[in-house]
Amino acid sequence: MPDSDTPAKLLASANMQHATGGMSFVKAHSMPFFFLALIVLNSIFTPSFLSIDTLDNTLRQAFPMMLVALGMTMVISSGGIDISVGAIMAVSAAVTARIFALSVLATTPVSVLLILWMACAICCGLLAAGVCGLLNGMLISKFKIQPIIVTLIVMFVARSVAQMILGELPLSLMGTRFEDLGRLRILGAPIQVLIMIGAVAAMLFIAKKTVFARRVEAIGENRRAARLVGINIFRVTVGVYVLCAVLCAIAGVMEAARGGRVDAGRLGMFIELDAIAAVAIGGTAFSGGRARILGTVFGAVLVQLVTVIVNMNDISYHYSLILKAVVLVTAVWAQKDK
Amino acid sequence: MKKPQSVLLLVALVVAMFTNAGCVPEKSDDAATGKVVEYSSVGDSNEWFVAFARELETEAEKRGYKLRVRHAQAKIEKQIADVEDIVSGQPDYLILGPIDTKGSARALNIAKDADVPVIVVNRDIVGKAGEDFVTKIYSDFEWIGEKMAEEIHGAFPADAKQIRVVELHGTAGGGNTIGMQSGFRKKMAEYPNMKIVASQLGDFRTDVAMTAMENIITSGVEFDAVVCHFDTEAMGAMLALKAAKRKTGSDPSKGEIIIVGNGGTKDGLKAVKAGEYHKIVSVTPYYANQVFDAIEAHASGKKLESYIRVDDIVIDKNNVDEHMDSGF
Amino acid sequence: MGQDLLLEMKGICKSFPGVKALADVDFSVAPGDVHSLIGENGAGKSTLIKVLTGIYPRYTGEIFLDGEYIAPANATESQAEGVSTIYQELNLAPYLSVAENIFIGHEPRRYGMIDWKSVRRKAAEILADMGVDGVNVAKPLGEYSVAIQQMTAIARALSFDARLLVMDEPTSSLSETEVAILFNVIRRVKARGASVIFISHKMDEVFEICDRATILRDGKLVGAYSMSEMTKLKMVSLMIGRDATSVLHNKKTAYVSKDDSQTLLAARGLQRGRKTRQIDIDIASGQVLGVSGLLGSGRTELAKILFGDNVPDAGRIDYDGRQVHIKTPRDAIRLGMGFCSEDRKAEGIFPNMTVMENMTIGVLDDVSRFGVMSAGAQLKIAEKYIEKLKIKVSSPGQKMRELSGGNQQKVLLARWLCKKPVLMILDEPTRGIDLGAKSEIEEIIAELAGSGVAVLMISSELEELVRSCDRIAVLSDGKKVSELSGRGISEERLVDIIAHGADALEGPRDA
Repeated sequence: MPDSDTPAKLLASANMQHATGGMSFVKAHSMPFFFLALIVLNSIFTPSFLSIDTLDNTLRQAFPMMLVALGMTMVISSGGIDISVGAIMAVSAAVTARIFALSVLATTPVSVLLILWMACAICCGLLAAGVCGLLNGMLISKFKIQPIIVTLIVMFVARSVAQMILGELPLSLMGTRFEDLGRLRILGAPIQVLIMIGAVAAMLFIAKKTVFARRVEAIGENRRAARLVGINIFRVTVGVYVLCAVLCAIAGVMEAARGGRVDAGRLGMFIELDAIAAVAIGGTAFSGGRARILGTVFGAVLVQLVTVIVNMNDISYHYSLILKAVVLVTAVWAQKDK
Repeated sequence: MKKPQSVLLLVALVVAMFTNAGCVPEKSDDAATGKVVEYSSVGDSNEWFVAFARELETEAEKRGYKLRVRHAQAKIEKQIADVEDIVSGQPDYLILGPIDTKGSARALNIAKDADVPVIVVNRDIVGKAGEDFVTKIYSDFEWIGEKMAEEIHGAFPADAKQIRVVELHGTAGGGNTIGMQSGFRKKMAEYPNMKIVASQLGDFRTDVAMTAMENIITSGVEFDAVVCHFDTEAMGAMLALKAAKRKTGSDPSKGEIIIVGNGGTKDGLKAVKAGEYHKIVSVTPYYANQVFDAIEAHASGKKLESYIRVDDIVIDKNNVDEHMDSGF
Repeated sequence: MGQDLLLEMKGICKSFPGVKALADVDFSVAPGDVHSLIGENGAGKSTLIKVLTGIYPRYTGEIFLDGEYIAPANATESQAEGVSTIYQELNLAPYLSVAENIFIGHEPRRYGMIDWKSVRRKAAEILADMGVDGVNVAKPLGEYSVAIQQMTAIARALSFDARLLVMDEPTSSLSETEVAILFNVIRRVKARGASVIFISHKMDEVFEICDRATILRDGKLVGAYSMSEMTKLKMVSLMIGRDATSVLHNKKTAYVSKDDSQTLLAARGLQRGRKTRQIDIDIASGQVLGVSGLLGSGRTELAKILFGDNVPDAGRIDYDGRQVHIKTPRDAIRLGMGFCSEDRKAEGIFPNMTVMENMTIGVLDDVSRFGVMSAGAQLKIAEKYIEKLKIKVSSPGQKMRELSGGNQQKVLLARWLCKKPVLMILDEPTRGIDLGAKSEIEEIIAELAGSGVAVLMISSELEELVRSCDRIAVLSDGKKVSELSGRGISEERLVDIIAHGADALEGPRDA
């Protein structure tokens, strides 16, 4: 008998649904309120905080972590975890940059041929990431090894492969058209923000409307039951990790373009920690279950906002860690209180 | 289920080992019967360490030594294990690039117990010269910090009202970061018109430095110069400034931001030549000759200084061409 | 009461949402008695033990130990009172020595330091006292057999000066000789004046070692009996509650289906490990085949093989006239099978998903186009079955975990019904469900069979099987010992066969 489902608790949850007071509204939407509070507070003490540039910076800088976190949300929804995300970013960036740099087109003015070549290089990068995702998913579901171990292995392998592709040295893309891709703006909006909006919309659609996401959630909620209702756990798991890997690849390629160089040893390093934090803040349960895409979006922006606030107020590195911890703890607490 | 798991782990380990080893071209067919020298490298995929290892190899070959390099992948445990491996082969000398000033000191004890003399390179280590190791050879980061302050000051007219500096510092707690920060501040104390208006983490990374610079620009803080602890950070700062339509260069009277950094990478030198990067205070990886001089001096029984400073230089527009080839 | 009782529990009630696990149960143990607590799964044995040992501190009723009122609030407290439990899964540390395992947490001390010498000496003493020899108390526990580990657990309990030892299925992983050793130890413990509560599903053991037995059924006390006045037959009928039924006998004929119905699934010689041994079974369309037998007889294992959750070592399954190889549940589902597990929580529900989502999870391909689900189509299915099966929910969007057991089970049934199954396998479909929902589920099963679906139904409740089934196979120890059909089905026969296990095969009882 489930001792946790005491009548008192059930009653409480029933009450929650019917309650419609002002305070409970705040409680039910504590995350946006916390967010709002953070922004109001900062608009007071952070110089020029309320500006389009701050928004522009935050969103652009949050871009790679946001994409990784979106993929991570689905992975965590399935009851797994993926710590190979940073290495997958590196591998896809390395493949893309290496192939792109092969052609003399790299430094020529924009042309149809150049765009095709770039697209071809990016596709190869996505493919490489896809292989990593495939490996993750297959090892996890076929051999029933802990996701954290599998993705740790893939992390080592992918990172090594990325370094082998580039040789010993980071590959500089300075002066190539690839660097311009990172600074591209369409009607004033940075390309990162546009891709991000597209990715968030796509993931919202996937999470809410597709059979795939429902099955992912079912596996995360109760793996045994999912097997017994005939869900193809192998296929769905592989799908989740491939999806995550492809999102990482886009993040990796765009990071390479933004920085104008690919450092296979450093690119995407530790991004999994920020991404996992973003998912945690967003309220997706780590034991698996519903993927909260919008929560993750909030979480990713929040995590980046901390860095922005630290930079803008010139808070020294040592204090910045404490600030980060405080904000994250408060955020997790706020969303947990629902 | 147990079996495939262990097989997989094994495969992963083998792959990891293979890729570590793959970075290092081995020179076992060298017929020279010279002394055996082993180098335990920090082994970061950083241009600097790669260049330093290459230079050591060239110099060893030139002088008829047998050199083997092991990369510790920036992991202390791996460095300790590497050193244990190395001393069991009883080489004539161990060149140790400590990953951590304190953490790598254990490696010294291991070598001492096996009677293998150690030359410490790259950065400081806890221990006594002449006892725990022969000598230490590396750039003087305090001096580099001082020099960077000096060069920023020198870029402005002597009567400049104020020189406001943004500092993008390296990995917090690192010996080189601390050295450059303290040298810079020491020198700055001599210039009453110079002050730091922001000091943020650049982490030796282009992306981190770029993010920090973008946010500092947006915050509206006014500044005239940027000091960076490595070229990669300077690149990030330049990208951010360029995107914000701010010019960088050597002439403050034209509103150009003065960027001075520590480094000497190819990208850095190119930026200096293009006039976007004011000056680089080098942290040269090319001191293999000093390392082997020390080995030979020690072998012949000469007494050595406890610290041998690597001579670094300032690279600017005027001398950049002659250093272009030595960019790493 | 009149005589001195070591333990007296009076009017114990304990409820969980939707279920009354214990209703006004009295239970008492005399000093030096080995007292068996008997009942089918879900009868309330373990709940009662958990109340006694402080794991469920919220109950109503009174507990007296040695005449003193106690209210166990947690496991440590009850241990301090002198009640020690030896669990099925031993919670010992295999890498610590035998002596350390016995004394961990309350080691004899000298000058504030653990006195290892006296730890070892006392440990050896206790073991010798129990009649266990040949154990080096300084060796790691993991080097010894499960039996010795169990002895160690008992020695640990005795080292606390336990007055009452609770043993929950202590023999489940022991060999016959080891069981004999254990019983010797129990007799010694008894001789020392301590009492033992002994829980086992193995009837022979209960008869061998116990002095008295208290029987529980459906959370209620059936009675306390002296073993000397007890027979196996009597015990099984008390456990299963034969006396409560006979009323419902005639109801069954109302929906006995045609005898000429076609065999849909024929399994021959199914074999898997020790739990499934050479089982032959036929399931016909439009019929309900019941599977009976005590817990551990291999009922659930059989269902899992048929549904592809486990793959048999040997045997052949013919389905719809041709041989099939069912390797995964997906294979079984493709053949038109459905399966409701006995463990709803672990193998059935998605607790945080909505009722609608739980219902449509198996038919997502039918309510979607290019992988995109239609909310309307799902809602239609959900509303249809909520009405049809009279499921009590606030809305199809209600969370599954907020439903009562009966309503959860109906949702799980609906999950398969909307797939239009050809064969439904139901493992304990009415376990832990209140009476009203129980009869509704029985009706659903009857309707299913009436519409031509083949049903295999596993149940511990004989009345239910007798009411619902056209044929009943009885399993014991992994083997099919008998099969009853038509007029041959009666509770008395079932009780008889179950009580005598494999013996029934040899006698002339086979119908």
